[in-house]
Amino acid sequence: MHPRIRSRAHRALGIGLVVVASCESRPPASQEGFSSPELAHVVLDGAFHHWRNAMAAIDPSVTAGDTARDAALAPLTPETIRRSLELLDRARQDLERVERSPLTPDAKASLALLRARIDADEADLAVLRRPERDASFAPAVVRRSLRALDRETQEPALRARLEAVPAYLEGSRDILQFPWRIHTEIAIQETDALLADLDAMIPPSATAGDHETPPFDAAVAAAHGAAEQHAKWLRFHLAN
Amino acid sequence: MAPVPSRELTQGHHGIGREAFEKLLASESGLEITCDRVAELGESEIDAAQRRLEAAAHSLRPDGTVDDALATLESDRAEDAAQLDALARGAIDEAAAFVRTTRFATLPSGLRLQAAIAPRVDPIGGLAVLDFRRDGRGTASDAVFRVSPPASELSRIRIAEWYGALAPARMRLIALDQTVPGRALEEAVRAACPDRIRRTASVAGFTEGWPAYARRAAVAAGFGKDDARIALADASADLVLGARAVAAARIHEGRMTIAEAVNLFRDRAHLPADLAEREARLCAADPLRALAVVGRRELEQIAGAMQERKGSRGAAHDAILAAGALPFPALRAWLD
Repeated sequence: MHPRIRSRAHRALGIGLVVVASCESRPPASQEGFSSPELAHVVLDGAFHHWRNAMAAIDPSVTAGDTARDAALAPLTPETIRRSLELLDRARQDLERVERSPLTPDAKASLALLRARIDADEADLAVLRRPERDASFAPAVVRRSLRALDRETQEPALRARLEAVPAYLEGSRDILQFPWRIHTEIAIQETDALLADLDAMIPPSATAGDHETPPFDAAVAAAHGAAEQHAKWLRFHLAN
Repeated sequence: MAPVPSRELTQGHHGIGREAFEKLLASESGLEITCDRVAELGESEIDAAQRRLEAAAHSLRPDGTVDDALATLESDRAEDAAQLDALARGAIDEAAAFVRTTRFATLPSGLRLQAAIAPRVDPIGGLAVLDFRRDGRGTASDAVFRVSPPASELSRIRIAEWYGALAPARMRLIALDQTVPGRALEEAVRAACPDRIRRTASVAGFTEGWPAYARRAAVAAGFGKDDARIALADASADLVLGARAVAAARIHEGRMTIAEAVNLFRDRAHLPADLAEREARLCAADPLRALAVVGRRELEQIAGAMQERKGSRGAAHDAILAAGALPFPALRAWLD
């Protein structure tokens, strides 16, 4: 690989492809693709990072099993969704240039997959607006993101996600608009299943905020309290 | 914490709309496919499965009806969670042995298969589902086949229907679908893919189509050969897949209510009322349930062509799985 290309690749992997996307040698959108397959691959990799960052902000289980990144469970807000849509759009623009570049068969397959994923996720967030209309979205994301991590080997990341559950669920209630009843019914089942998952993680004596309680158990207890509150809210909501 | 008014999807026509449904399916499969085409594929699946069901029913109960044969199929069902657990364990062992002895596909050495009883049914899955966890290095993965017994507060009839849906012949086929050579195998091979994009991302056309393809291909390759119960359970499972495609397409384009979808699952897929209602509601909640039939159809064509080129079924399956869960046009191009 040419040293200049390698340097771009390293920067891209280290801080995201924003650098590559704005580098001076990059052709404007109206021009042809990249003449160098290496550069096209670097930009493809950058588009992947944009997509992953966009979706990990909404659903950290997207990164399940990828130990290179322990995505946080960040509060679900209109701003989070707007930023994710911007990242998806940036990824799409990068892919449009990569599509016009010479690529290996492997890279072509990855490009097609990423393009399809971006289309589907953008439709989910912008057209179907699932986080805002599907009440089952948030409890399902919480469950998946907790189940994706193994306490034995990833306790700090798991604890961080547990600690983020109350704010995440509260945010999900704030953004919910005109949900379908059928999703609310599933949301209640998902929240009950989340409570069962949390019950399995902790001895029943643990209490949130108790100084005697180990931090991990306290985080589970806080998440449990938040899930109970969420379940009550969903049931109240369904009744109305 | 004010309540939010909710919309009722269970009465009237409130799907996501034809355009959104078709766009979603196109993104998740790479195919330009209309609602009508999805429903047509579903209808054709139902018709073919019904013929197979009748033939298998006649073989099992020559003097009885289809319902009699289904009752026979379910007569040796489990009666409690412990028996269900034993059935599930036996089913995954049999599935893994079948894949190895027939060289249906290569099993990754790091794939650990287990069965467990789930305390409650998965809200959006079936009564027996896969819980898959990868270690991030692609060297090991745990695939837990979680089977849900019925809640004790259900009526005796509903409990019997639940165990009937997990009767031994059905459980053996669900294990093929959810563990190996189905979903667990696909997930484990993808987790080890050297390409980061294809290791992380997937489309539902492939991930939903592969388990359905794998079950049918395993039965065609001799799983449960000469066992009328397996043939009956296989046809019965395909009736449900066909009905899902019809229900999802018609509900989301606004031409079918949930009540009509319940009738479809009850009358044409022979499901008991509770399970028919569950299926209909899940089709309304998740439009992607239509994709198993679409994906399987594509994979049957792709696997057939690959087998001719590679010379063996196992080599064809290994090549397809190694590509990753790609949109179908990209999968064809990559394999070429």
